[in-house]
Amino acid sequence: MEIALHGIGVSPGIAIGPAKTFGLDSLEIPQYKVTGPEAELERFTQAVDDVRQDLVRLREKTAKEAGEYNASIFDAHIMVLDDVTLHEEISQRVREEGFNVEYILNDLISQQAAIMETIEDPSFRDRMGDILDVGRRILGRLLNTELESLEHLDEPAIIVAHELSPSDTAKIDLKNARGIITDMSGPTSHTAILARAFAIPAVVGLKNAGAHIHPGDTIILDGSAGRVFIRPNEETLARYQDRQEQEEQQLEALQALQTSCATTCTLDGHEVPLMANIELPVEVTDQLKRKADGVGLYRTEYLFLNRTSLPTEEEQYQAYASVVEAMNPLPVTLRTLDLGGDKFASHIPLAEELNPQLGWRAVRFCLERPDIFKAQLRAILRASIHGNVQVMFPLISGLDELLRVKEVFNDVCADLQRRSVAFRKDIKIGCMIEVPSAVAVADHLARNCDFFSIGTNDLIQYSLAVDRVNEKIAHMYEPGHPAVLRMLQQTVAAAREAGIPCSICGEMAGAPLFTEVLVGLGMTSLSMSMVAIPQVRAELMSIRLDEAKETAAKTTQMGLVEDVRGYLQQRHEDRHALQTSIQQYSRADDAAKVRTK
Amino acid sequence: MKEVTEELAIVNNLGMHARPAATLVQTVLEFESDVTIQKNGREVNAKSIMGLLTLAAAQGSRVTVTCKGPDAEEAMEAVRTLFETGFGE
Repeated sequence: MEIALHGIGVSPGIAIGPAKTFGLDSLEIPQYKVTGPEAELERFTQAVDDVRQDLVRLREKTAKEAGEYNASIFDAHIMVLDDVTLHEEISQRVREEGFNVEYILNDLISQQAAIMETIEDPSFRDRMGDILDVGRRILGRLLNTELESLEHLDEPAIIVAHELSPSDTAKIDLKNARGIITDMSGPTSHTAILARAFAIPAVVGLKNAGAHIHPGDTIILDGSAGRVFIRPNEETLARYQDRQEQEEQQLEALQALQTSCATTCTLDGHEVPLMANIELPVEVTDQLKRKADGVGLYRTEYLFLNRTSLPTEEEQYQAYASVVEAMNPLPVTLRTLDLGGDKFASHIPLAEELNPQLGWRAVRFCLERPDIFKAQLRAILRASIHGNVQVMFPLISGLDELLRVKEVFNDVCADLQRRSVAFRKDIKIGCMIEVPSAVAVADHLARNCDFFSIGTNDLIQYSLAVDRVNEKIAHMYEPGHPAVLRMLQQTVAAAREAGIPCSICGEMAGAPLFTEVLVGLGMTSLSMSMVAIPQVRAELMSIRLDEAKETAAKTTQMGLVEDVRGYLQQRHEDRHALQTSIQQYSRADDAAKVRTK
Repeated sequence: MKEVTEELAIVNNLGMHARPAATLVQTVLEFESDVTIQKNGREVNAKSIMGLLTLAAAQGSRVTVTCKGPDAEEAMEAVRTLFETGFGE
């Protein structure tokens, strides 16, 4: 019987394949009678001691690098090792039941996990997860094996897990992982970030999908719609196979175009660099360097998410330097911490906010926590000597805030200089434009920074007062709204007046429908997820700057969203028809070349 | 054998999450008495961090603390101080 489930789509695309279930449930825990309970308990004590040593080492390292407060979180973990209930229960049950200690411990972990399921408050549930992790570490020691890993999959498969830890996710066999579905996790989980980074379709938050799935079951997942089908019937399967095939064909056609004549110029020779948005250092691959002209947005939140302590300056430095060095000489624009709002760091106690999008986040948070902010800036500055770095600040709402941020930045520079730490003194600093008030005072901001980068996702949401997560009004989130276009126009005008570049790094930049109007408005570069680059490049190569300017002038004068959409759609289709003929022409041209050889 | 029981409230922002629970365990381990905590009909050993966390005691929730043993009163005194000072957070 087909089962259809709905979760949160966190990485787009369609995947079809056999299920590879992962988790302790599928791990073979041996169960056998033991003759001497004392020897068995001795093994347990030994395993606990080994794990304690690991944790103490981790605690010391954290205390040294991130301070005592952050290290103290490990006290709770170490305490679990000595937990009276744990030891009493293990000892009592091994003696009474006479089974091996792995079996008893695993049973105890399952019981605790079941209790955890009933806890409604997510912050307590997450902490319990940490605690269970300690139990699993002991189990791993006892079994004297690395717990099951996803490092080598035998065949292309869809990974099905209750939850994936950061270390599980980091090891996933990327060649064979077609898709990922998990019961737990949300859009900012490590799993989601990694899946997006590697363009692996993923759906999370399915609650109890694992219970319905057996290893090898056929699974369809649609990462765009957040849908999952377990053991689909023939009709569903055929429908999704068709859709998958269509998407692949489109991609192939674009990639063919890409390699045959790749430029980032319009038909009339106006160059608009296409940059990539990245979240993880591992995203910087040879392929990325071939496709993108640089990194236009390097989000740094992943370093702070899904962990119990703050990342150290050194750890941040290593991460930033690796990206900067790998991209060199291409530019990398780092965005400082955009924490809070929809993103959440489990180790920084943030009170629940009624309206987190309008709350204590990004530079507002950083200015209140100079310890965190300065450590990040030091790491960025130190990384700057490895290549071409720019830094930008999110959620600036006005000149006061920009100046305060610059003051902190200058303090950090002076401090490094005093300590003779090397950094690039010519590093450019930019202001993100994503709050409507920043647009209104863009002239002031432009005179006080080196570049603008417009974050359209937030700018649209704030300008139109639309929460995209609210299904009732999500359709009102409209990049083609004349008000949005005018705000972009006003921002670019201020940048031009001050003689600084203005790029755009929201999802709008990756939508081919808007490429012409964005170029026409005067954006100096476009930054998008890597998967969008081929489409936008194809679009860019089919437009003319003079026509684009006209499109921008016309659409910013329109009153109705419908008119803007219709106009852009029409132009897009006209170009598409033209593009197809160019493609045919270039193929004929290639064929002719082959014949003349 | 002395036994004392008191109802106490959780006042710190985040409730009894990992760090406060760890502090509580460390404190009660110094006493000989058995200390148990009850919330919504569930009772756990206050010397067990796993037990404490399963209570999911958020800010504002009330729990019943029972100390049983030769130093029950001193133990209760220490526990009460911890609760009242928000576990030192």
